[in-house]
Amino acid sequence: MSERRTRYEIYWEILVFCKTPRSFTGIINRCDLNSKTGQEYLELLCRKGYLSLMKDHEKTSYIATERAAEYIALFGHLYQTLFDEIPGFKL
Amino acid sequence: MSISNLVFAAITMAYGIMFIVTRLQEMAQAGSLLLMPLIMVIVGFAVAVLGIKWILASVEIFSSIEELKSAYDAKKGQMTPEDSTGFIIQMINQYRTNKATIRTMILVCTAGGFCFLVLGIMSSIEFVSAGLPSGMITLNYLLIPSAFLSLGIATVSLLCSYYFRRYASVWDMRLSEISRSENVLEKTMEQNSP
Repeated sequence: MSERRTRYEIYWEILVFCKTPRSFTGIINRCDLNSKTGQEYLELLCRKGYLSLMKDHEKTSYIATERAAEYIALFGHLYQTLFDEIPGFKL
Repeated sequence: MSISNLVFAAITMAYGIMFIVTRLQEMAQAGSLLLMPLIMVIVGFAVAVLGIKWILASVEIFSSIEELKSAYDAKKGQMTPEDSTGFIIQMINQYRTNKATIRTMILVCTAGGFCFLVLGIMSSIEFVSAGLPSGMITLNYLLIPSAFLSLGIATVSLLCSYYFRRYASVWDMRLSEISRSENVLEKTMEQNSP
């Protein structure tokens, strides 16, 4: 996806992807972020309580919290209402 | 619409090339570098380049839409709300990426449409040229195809511009709604901060 996403769209992508535990590299690859901005987004989401860190031996992964589910639901609702029906592709 | 847009772009390119070839021929026959034909060659070259650029931009936009449509069709029936939201985000990004090109297309289509309309009207007037002093009306049938072609291209380009404008206005409305949604999301994130 291009870099023209808003930060809220990026938060949504990260949180949806982190429904199961994900590594930092996995997140930045999947969400097409560089490590610096990826780190900033993840830190913010952790600080806000949308992500929590899981440490298993030496592996650290991120997982979405219950609060993230609220964000995902609200975001989905707001974006779905932009379209009266299913997404249309006609020009 | 996508096909007529491509056809219009191809005709624009062909017109440009036609200008170059005919004016170069004129200059070759005259055996010297004439100012007016030279200007026409430059204009023709610019029109041909515009046509090529237009085709490339159209192909890029339509292929990205087609790609997304295929992915959407493949998921149809087994789509989760998150998949659906993901597609919406991709469509929005696609519009954000192509917004400038679409705006240019609207302008070029409108300007080109009016140019061809004028050309078509002029050919139509030439077709029925009134011989005022003698009171006779002369019909120049050779101009009929050119008049029809110009008027046809004018119609297609003005229609393209109209539909592009409608498409852009719908997406611009959605983008402004997104800005409002962002405020809601921001407030929610602030309220929910631990």
